[in-house]
Amino acid sequence: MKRYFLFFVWFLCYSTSLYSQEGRNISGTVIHAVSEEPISNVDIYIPDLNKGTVSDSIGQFIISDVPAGTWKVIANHISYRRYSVKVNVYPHASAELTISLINDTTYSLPPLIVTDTSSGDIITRKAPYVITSIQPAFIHSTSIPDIGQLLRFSANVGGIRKGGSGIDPVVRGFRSGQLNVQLNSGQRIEGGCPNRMDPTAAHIEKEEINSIEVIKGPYALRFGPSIGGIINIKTKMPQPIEIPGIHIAASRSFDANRIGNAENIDVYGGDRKTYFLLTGIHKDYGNYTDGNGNEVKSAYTKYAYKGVVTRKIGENHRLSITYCENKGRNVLYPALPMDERSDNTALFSLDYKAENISDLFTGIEGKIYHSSVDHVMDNKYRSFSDTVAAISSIMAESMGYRFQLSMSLGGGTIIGGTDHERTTKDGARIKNMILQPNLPVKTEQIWNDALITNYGLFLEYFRSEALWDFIFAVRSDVNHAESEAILMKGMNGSPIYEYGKDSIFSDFVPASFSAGYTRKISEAFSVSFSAGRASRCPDMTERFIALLPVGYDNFDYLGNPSLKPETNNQADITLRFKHPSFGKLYLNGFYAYVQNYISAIRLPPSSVMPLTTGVLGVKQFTNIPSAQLSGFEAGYEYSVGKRIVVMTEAGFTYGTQSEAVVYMKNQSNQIISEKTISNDAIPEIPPFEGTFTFKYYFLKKKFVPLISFRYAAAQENISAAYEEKTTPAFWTADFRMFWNYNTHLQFLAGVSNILDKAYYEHLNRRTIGSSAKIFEPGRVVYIKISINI
Amino acid sequence: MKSLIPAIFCFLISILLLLACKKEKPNPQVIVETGKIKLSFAFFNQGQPQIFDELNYTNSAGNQYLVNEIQFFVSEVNLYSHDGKVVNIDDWEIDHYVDTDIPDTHTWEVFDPIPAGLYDSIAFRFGISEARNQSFMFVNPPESYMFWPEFLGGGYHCMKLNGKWVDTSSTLLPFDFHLGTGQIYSGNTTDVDSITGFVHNDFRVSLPLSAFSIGKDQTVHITLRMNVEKWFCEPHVYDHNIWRGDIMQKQAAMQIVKENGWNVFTISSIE
Repeated sequence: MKRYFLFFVWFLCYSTSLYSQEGRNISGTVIHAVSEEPISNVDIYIPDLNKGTVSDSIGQFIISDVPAGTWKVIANHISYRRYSVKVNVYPHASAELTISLINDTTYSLPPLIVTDTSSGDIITRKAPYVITSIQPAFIHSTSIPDIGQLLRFSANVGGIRKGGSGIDPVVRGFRSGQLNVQLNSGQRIEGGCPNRMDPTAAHIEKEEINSIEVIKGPYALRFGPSIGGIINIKTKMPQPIEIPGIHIAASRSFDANRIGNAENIDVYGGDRKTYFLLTGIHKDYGNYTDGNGNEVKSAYTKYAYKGVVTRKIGENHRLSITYCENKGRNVLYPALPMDERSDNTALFSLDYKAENISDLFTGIEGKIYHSSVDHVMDNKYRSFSDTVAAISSIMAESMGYRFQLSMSLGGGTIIGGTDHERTTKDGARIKNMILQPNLPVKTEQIWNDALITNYGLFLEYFRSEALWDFIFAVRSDVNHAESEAILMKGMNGSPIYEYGKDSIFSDFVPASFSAGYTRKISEAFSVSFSAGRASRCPDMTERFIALLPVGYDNFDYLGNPSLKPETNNQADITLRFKHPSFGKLYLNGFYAYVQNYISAIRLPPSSVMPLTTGVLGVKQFTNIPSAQLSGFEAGYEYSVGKRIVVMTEAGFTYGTQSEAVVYMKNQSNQIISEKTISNDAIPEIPPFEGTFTFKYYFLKKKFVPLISFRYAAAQENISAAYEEKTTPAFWTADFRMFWNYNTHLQFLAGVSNILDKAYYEHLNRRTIGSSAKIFEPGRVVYIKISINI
Repeated sequence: MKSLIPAIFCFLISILLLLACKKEKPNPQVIVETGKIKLSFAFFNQGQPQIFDELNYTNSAGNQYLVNEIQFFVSEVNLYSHDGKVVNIDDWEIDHYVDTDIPDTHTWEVFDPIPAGLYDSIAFRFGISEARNQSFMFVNPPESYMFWPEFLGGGYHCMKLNGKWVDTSSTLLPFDFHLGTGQIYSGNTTDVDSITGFVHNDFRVSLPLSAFSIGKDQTVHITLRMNVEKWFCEPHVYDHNIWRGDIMQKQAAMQIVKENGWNVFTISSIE
């Protein structure tokens, strides 16, 4: 900790010394007008001053020492329309702007092809809290096949691995229902598996997405209720094409460790008014081998097809229809009692967007969606399938809408709107007891027509001035949950577990609010402070799950319809520093105090016995008084000349729960007493992690080799109540190189885990029937070829 | 000054959040002085510790026999205090599985805190009661291996006592001296389609001479002794040559086992 403190002091001293510097800057970000993705290599210049620069790999730029006055700034790129804007530069302040470019008619480069290898995680948006984004350049230049695994490259974001795919994100110690994971700013997907083998991100393939935005903390309230953060997965969208035509972008990759391929083809075309994108994806991966040379049962096959059509209605309005089907087959999860035999996910969305409607109304966005997941699991490959053959079929549906209106008000922008989500789940586990002949098949209801509806109203006000930015958001929800009575009967008809006699209801009206303020101390240095109080209602699993092992530990879990909402009171402070001669640096510290934290307590076998073979007993979700989480993130990027870029990022979270129960055991492993302890660690929090990346640009950035190192400290802050085990420290090295041969052909090749280290993340689950955690893949050699015509 | 308004606003929100974090009041608790009990199981035959897998025992019917293993459930343990109260052992476990092949099961360190005081006797159920004895209530071995076939009544065995005896032709044959749910058949058959009802053969055991006292924070160690030979002698003489090796579909045989069980257990020691 002392090292971090010294670093912080040094950073403040350095920042203060720069405070007195003379001169003003014009800085900002260049993004695509439709996809909002950053654009690199854009010439930005002020003709009257003969000053200029080029946007970097993440679309950002700074023009230094600009005198006060009004200046015309021009942005120019061969693939985009020329952009011009007048900028006011005041005597004691810098100007910041966002430049939105649209594709040029003559030189329309395919928008879906990677043009650079970039860092995995950057701050992209102007906000007083931390928003990071995993960029398309990074997404499409790695061998990582899974979205959850990609997210691990963000500071303070971990992932729970249960198999080769479907890694479940953990952000600053918040997980599952504490995070709001959504698709394209509003669409929710409820996974079928109660054990979260298919969290939201598992229903979208990496090849479908354009970027992933992570908004940390309980602040961005207009995207839905969330206490820990929002993960917004943005898929590729079509763009207007001025010369009507059809383009094709295709790629094929090979992974030598998993002995598998991934193929992707995107067909896009149309004209200025109507444009479309058709996507097809196929992936077939075998089991991977870990650093010890052991095979990890992690094979899977997935395929997807998707179509998006957008129609411009007038100059400023557009309507998009998206339909996507994602299929999973034989997806193995060695940490779970079942594998995914099949998954059929269908996603539909109708989106409307209007911009610059009038001086007062600046924008309207509307979305209607429907997500359905038909998920089938079984224990065919488990050792106990010769005594109990089990199969579960779950149908989960989410549907809803989101509508927002933006207005200019009082020098700022106010965004108001409403959203709604309706989630239903129904399904059963069917057991065939092979050991006993002539035994009737046993059906256990996992969900019993469970339903959650949530109606939300939100309001956000944002104002940006030369020296400060301010944001305030408020949100209120009406949350209703119900289920048919939960009744599990034994073979003789008497109840094993029952809750309720008719239907079970719970209703909440939680309110949330947040505020943030950024103060520009100098042209290079700003300080942001955010505070928020947000509540989230218990999710379907926490409320209604009936005796399934859905938690970190090896227990059957029972839902608790009487749970109260969790409320997170959090504050963040973020320091940002950006200077041409120093580079870019950010440092964030946060503290969260969560009331009514949802944890779980063990129930004695005298009250309820487990139903799942191999589990240790039964736990039930419950509220404990509170939990506290605190930590930091820091990132630094520096360019040495125009060829070398170094980047480093680190994050750490420390979390404790106010009370927890631990059980004393004798030598025979019998539980002989219990004890309530204070400040037990929250389970499944990643340890301190840091990454360092070095990349070099050759051939005018057409050939880019990159080497990166990742270090994860040992995790020794573990939960006694959850009997969590410590995890040793490890570090890994990856190498990859990207060659943009021309606009039609690109190559990617690399080696991850170069030294073939045997290691596992702290969040990796144990292999079922074993106390050993699943190891990460050993050395992975991969290659990818992309063509574009 | 205008630019400070948002900062003041943020400050006020922070104060509000801090105020929202109220401290929980501890619940007052009534302190009861308690101790613990530990139950152990020992196996004797004809006054000596049971020797397994050796053909050196003869029962009251004159059958020469050996014992390979004994597995059984003890449940619903009750402690009868001197002042008339009954302490039920059910805070954590109700059923305890004992297996002669698994030494860890020979001792049951009871989770329940036992109020300090004088106790007159101890009693328990041998097997699992009808209300609670449900098929698949145990999902893990070794308890799950005690299942009683569903078509014979379901649930779990009360006991498996497996061994061998020398029959009238001097042949060493295996016997499964099993106690569980019995069946009533219509007619002289054991066809499962002719089952008309079931009999639950679990039974209560009350142990004489089991008075003890327990002090605050004291652990009383009670050793229960199974006298194996008693299964075959009182009040009925059990003859393996009559009932042969498998009795799971012979309620008359299991009735004998059940009725003989009344004095199989004794208190070996209380420390």
